[in-house]
Amino acid sequence: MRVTLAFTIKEFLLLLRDPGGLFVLFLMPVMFMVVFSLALGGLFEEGAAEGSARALEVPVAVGGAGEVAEQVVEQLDATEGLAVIREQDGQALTADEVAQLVADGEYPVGVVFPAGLTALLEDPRILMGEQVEPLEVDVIVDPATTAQVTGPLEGALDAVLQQVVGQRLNQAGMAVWFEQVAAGLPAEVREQAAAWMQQSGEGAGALPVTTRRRVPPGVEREQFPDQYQQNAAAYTVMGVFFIATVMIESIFRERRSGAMRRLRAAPVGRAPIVISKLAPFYVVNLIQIVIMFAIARFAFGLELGFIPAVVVVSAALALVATGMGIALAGVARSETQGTGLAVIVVLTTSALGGVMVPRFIMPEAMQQIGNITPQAWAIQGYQDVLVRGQGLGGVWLEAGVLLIFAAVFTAIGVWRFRFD
Amino acid sequence: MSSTDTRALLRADGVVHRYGDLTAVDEVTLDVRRGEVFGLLGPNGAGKSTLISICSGMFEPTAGQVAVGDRQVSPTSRAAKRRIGVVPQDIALYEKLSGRQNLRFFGRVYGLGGRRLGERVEAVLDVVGLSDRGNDQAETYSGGMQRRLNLAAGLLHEPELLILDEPTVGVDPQSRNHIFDNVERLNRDQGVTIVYTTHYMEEAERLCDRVAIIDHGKIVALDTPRALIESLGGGVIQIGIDPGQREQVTGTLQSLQSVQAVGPGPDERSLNIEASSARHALVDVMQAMNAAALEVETVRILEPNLESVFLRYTGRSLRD
Repeated sequence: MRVTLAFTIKEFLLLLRDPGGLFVLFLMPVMFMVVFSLALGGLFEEGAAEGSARALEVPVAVGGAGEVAEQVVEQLDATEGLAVIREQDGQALTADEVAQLVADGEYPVGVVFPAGLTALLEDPRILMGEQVEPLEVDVIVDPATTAQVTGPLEGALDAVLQQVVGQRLNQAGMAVWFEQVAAGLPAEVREQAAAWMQQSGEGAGALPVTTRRRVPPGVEREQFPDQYQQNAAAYTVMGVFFIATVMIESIFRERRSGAMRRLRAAPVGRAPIVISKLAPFYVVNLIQIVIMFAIARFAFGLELGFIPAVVVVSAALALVATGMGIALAGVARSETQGTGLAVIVVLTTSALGGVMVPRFIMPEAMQQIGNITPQAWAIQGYQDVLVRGQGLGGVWLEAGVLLIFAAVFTAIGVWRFRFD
Repeated sequence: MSSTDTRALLRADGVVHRYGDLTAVDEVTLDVRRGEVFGLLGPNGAGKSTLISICSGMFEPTAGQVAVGDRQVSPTSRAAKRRIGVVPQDIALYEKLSGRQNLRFFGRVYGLGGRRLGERVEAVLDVVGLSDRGNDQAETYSGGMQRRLNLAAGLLHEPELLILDEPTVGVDPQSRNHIFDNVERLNRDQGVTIVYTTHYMEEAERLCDRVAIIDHGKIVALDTPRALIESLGGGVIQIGIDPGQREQVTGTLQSLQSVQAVGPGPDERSLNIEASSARHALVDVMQAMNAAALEVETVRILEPNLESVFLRYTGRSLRD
């Protein structure tokens, strides 16, 4: 018992000798609680149902679709979790503007009603049951958006269209029928027949209006990825950054051994030593990325798109991750503090960067904060290639920003690098 | 083990190093002559490791400067660093690598390559007697073998100046003798100048041409071991006293003809008495103390050796 107590006291004393490590231990859960609460606040906040800023905002172009479209839009806007955006700068949105907003990543999904929608439903040929060419309501979707986001909108749109268009057709059809066929019947019989017709007509037959899912103009990929394909990029990005913990352990182990001290007496500068620390882990990161994408490709059928563009993003991403590792090793005062700090930084920036949840469902302020994380740029770069089908021209900005992150992190690492 | 060239190879001039409020090295000035084995003696925390770290170019001193030959030593002075071999106190090796892999790595760090690197690796493995274990992982070596490999890594680039920081700490007698033989052979056969820090007096007496005693960051004595020992005369008597009678005892003993000097001991309850013959002076000391009714709690005679020299200059034992 006395021995156990002695060991326990010793461990407490050792813990207290590393207040930074303890701080990290306590900081980690606090950071997760705060970051996730802020990032996901919109999903749980009461009032999102009433179309608050955190409901799914959907730009809509009504154009010349007329009264029926207005009715559909009104009901969509009243739907829980949806908020319809009809205007920009005081002007009603056009079909092109809606497509552009989605293409720019401003909104994940938009709706464009076809011109002549209301007029079609008043066409006597339809009311007499003749087949006509159906009109299509375009649901314009960013390919990088998950089905969890677009699904509720598409479901709601289909339901509202069914209801509004079906109701309108039945009412108009019955009126015509009564006028032409049942005019001579007794009033009591006509009422019973009308009730029966209305009941049996609801939902019967194909509507002359359908929805069509499509990508914005300029986006080449027509095939929408499933959730596994979506997640491949995000989780590859997060996994790559965990190299920081391995690097920190390696550097502190070398310091403990005294080998770093010996290197300090050697005729080499600080930079070659730091770079030699980066190089092997950089290769490990690249291998890690290859493995992740190989699994995504062969197990989940991910289309890799233009491979050289994937390589460019991956090369820049691995530089950032190893740079972050060397920077954190320089900042940390102990191995415990360093690895704890790395876990916090990686998970927090991953959450802010859109690894766990897409950034567009975060509040605006959190989306802006996400822009200062390398994960956001890396995910954006990968999705440009994997999902949006873009080539080298589509990823140069993301790769450039990632290289700036890498340069800053590595500079901090070289500056703060300690031999003992 | 002889000093064939009196020109200084390593020169420290007014070196000061502070860690916050603590002065670890305090105005140290010394020359290490080309071809000599120079001992730096001092207890743990005396400032030895800080001084040799500065002399190795690991970091800049707070004040003063160090030069090897005509090259100033600093963290960025690669030319100076190439002339110095450092064997740190820690086993500064990669345990998961084999002995040869470790040596090849450190050899490349010092600019060796190709056939020359291979030759040097085999040569230093032979010097430290590890040729047959060179392919084994360093973690499988005994503590003494690791120390020998640690020494080998410092010899790879054939330095003019070899700095050994407590190279025998925690080493078995066989490996210790092996290291002694290596140091003597390097100095005698290859003319390597060696700075050797230790807190083992017998090592300094056996190996060093000259010895500097460092305490609280200051060089308190510097000479050949023989001269330092002879300066003690006939040895030192260390007596335990009542601290309240300290001044009275000191006055009483200083008046004795057989006593050369009375100084502070390792603590406030002791005094060091130097005499031309400690054994003869002891009788006078005891008689004088009795006559003055002063209490003597303990008596210890320290024979003339470096341990006693250290005690004289620092008031404490090397192993304190």
